[in-house]
Amino acid sequence: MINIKTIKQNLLSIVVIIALFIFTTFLCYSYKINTYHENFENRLGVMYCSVILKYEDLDLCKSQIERENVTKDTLTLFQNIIQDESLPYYLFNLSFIIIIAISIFNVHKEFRSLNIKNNLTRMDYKKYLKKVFLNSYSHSLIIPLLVLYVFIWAYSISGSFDYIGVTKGFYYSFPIEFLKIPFQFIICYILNLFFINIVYISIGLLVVKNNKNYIVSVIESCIIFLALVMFMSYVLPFMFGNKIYFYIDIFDMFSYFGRPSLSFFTIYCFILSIISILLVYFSYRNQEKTILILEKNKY
Amino acid sequence: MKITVKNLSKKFKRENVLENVNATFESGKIYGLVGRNGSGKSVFLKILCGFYKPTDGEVLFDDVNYAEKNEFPPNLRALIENPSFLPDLTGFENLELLAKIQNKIDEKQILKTMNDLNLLVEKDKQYFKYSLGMKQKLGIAQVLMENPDIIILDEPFNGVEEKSVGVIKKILLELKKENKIIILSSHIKEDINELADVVYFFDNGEVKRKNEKE
Repeated sequence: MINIKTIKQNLLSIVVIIALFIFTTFLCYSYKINTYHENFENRLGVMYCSVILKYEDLDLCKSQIERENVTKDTLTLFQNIIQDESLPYYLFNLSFIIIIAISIFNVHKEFRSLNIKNNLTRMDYKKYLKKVFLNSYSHSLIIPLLVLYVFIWAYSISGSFDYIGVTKGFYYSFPIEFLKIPFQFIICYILNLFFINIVYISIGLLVVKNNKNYIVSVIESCIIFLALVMFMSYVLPFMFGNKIYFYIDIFDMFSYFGRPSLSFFTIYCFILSIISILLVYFSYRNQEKTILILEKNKY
Repeated sequence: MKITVKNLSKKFKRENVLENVNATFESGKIYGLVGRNGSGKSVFLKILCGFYKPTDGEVLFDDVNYAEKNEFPPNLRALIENPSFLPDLTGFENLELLAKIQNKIDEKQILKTMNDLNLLVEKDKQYFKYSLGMKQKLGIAQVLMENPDIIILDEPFNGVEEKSVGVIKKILLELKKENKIIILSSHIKEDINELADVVYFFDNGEVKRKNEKE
């Protein structure tokens, strides 16, 4: 049962999660209204043009008639919401900052207070790490769940997976090959976000034990992540050819523009997450070293 | 219960912090560790707790070497150096969180320990608002609340007001009667002399002398 103390201990995470879901709800709701208006105007245009075309041969009206019964499919609407060029674009693409910040907040407090010493007379070190890290890694579910929430909204608004509007060039969407396999795509999309969020958190955990200051930990983690992105997006393509950029870029996790293979990218993200967890394991496996570092950086 | 420390040495990089320390601790006695700052007392206590591993030698709890098994010594509670708690939680919430790990005691027992140490009035105050003395007493409450068999207190009277020092000393003497092993370290010889049955004198990482009360 969730009690007041649990809420108090995870207040920052709870506030951020609620804020993200409220923001996303407003965003999706505004898309619902827009889609309603768009469909209404579309139908009105078709009615109007079908009358006009009886008297005049207008190209504009011909193309409007082609739009008859064409609505945005679920994945296109989902893409439009996630990649909305205003705030959501930045919110989702820069979500790594939010996730790092909230996932290491409690770990930082736990480590800096040296509460580990009270815990280690009551439980073994592995169990202690499991407790602290599980809490931290649980934040890797926030963005995938938020994206799933957007997908459910998109489905409730569109109700269709017919992407004819994209093939006819009326709407901008994900690459067609992914629209052909909507469920496989959305599952991989969410899984990849989950794996990459594990990578963000692992970087945070690697950094947090060495820093006295929380803000410095967050900034350092973000810089390390961006350095990793630069290495993968610029250094590796420079060494092995530009083609590999689309296979290994982990900064743009939302558009899937140019991604050649869904399964490869999912396996790649999975491997990255496993490597990052292993790095955290090796960094913390020595109890004595960890305690010595934490003692050096206590409040 | 008996703790046997055999030929214990500890090195950090090239620096010898403890060298060939031998000691025994038995139930029903209070042990004092005396020595200057940096004499190796705290490192010795951390090894007893299992926080650090010995470079050489061993620590046996009734002939069991927990460090070798990567386990923590059971029924041992310690306050080493400064008390360490989560700053945003209240004193009571901090103790409750720790008590829930092993679920040995309930809320009543936590409150009783806080009451014994004159902390009850401040139980709902956030830890970061505690004075130095209150923090120290909360650290001691954390050690005593689950009625452990082995009690380790490193400089327990630091910052604690005189009245509470008397209360803590009285509690420790009562626990001695209950057959606990109590290990205290202090740089104030008077405190140790008053309470301890056996005193180990630490200097430069070695036990130079052992005094026993008649």
